[in-house]
Amino acid sequence: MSPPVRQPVGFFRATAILLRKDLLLEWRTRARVNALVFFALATLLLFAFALDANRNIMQAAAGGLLWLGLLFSSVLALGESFRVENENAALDGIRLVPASGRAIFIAKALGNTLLIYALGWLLLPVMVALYDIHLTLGPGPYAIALLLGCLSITAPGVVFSAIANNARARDVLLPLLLFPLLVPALLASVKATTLVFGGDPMDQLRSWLWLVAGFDVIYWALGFLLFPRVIED
Amino acid sequence: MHGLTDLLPTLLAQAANQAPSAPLPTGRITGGWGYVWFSYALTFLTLAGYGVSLWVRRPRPTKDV
Amino acid sequence: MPGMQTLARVLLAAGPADAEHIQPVTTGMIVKYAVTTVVGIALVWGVIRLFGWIEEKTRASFGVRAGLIGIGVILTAVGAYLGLFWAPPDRMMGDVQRIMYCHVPLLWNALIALCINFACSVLYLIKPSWKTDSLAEAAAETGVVMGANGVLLGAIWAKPTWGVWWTWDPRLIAAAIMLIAYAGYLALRRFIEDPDRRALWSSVVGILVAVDLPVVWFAVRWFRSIHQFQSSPSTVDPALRVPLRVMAFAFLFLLMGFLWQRYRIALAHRKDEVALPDALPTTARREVTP
Repeated sequence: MSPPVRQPVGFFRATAILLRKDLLLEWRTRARVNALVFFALATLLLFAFALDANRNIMQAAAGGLLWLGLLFSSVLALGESFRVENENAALDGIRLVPASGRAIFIAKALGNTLLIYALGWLLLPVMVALYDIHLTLGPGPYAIALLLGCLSITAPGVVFSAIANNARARDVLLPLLLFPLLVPALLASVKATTLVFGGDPMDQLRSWLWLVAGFDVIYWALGFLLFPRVIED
Repeated sequence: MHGLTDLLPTLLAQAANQAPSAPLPTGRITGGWGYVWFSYALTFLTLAGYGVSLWVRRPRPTKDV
Repeated sequence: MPGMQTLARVLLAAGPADAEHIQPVTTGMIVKYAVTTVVGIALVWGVIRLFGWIEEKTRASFGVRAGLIGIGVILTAVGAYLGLFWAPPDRMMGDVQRIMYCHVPLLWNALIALCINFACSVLYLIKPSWKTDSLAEAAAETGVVMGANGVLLGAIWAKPTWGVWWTWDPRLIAAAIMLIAYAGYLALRRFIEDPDRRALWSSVVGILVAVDLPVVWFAVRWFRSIHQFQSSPSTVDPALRVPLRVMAFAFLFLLMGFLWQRYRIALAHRKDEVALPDALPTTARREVTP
């Protein structure tokens, strides 16, 4: 009688387990999520001071301010997301299970996307209060624009975070690598969100959303292809 | 050269500013040699400086460690 | 290939409704770009082999590098003379336009260097080698030096022609993003001590950045939707074309000389790093050795 051979779990199941693990970790250490939320709130508040609390300017710039707040928060979330794996060499443990690098990528990216996406919804009432914005097109388009933008931040973010996590000066390195890469997706997301807030008389929203979706495809495909090479040793 | 037509008013104003004694502004930018000399000098200094830095950093055959 | 075609169509058709000058994407274009990429990567591979051959089999390495730089310097002198004194002033921009003879060739050559970096990044992931890694490092640094110089010249040129140092023109934004992205790439290389990891990770970053750049270009163009300021050789007067070409080749020779020299520095550095005895403690040495 040979001992039962443990079958490695399939790709989707591995992804689901890893995602559940990440979310559970976030839930158990709620202090981190709380800190993230307050960081984002502080950012929005600071933007208001920077713009001299001028209602017209803030209204016009609200889309850009929202995405800057989300971007800064996402840098913190992404950095944290791999820092926890450093303790007890947890990432090596996961890889030895064995879980495929691609499953780790998808799980990490999805987990961070969910986090930033939730943050985007949390910030909405704050923006209404602080910047006096209106959700002119309703919550549906906002949900889509937010989700597509979050997806475009997290895929390259996870790749770079895994890299920066093992380098010196990782806190500087992650934004230095990530921000220039994200410019196109952010431009399109800002345009889309501004249209959601300010109305869309020229019917342009759809094309900007398609554009972000195109970037999502590129970023996620590249991350999916390249991430296993990043964590191989 | 399409975008130039939009810039024409600016160019005219500039030309008028830079050459107040000129009888008629022609739409052409006059002068500006300072910018040109500075640009060329900057380029050559940068490239020469980079070349020198490459020479300074050259791999040396003997390592005294 | 149909997948790529669809993706490109989605990307290109996705611009705002009022965007102008959007070229339709044809299968021919995609095939052309794909073939160019593959041929370019193969070419860089060949160049690395050639460098290696000259370095190992002949003693002419120093002579060849000195020759490249020497030709570059002579051509630069000729080009500068042609650009400054021989070429007539531009009909609209007058003498200020002479900045173009430095500005445009610098950026062309910076782009060549960054393309070499991309090719090396891909090559490294296919087949790891210190030579590809070294050339990638060399190309990124040379590209950033020339690119920064070119962008600076653009700002200087903008002051007398547009009245401001900087406009939020798509081309300018894309160039600035390119420089920052490759500055990040170079910073990454400095911040990782383990040569294996550095080579691997910088290749990944090099590919991501290079793929992102054309996308930046399209996105920014739609975002700003400004008229373009086209300057291709066919629209430029022949008298202006000669100094432009001379200068382009001058900087190309300088680029080749610089690249090779920088490549040798990087390669020697790699060999030192790899040759370090295991007993010596380094900060980034891996803890677990089988």
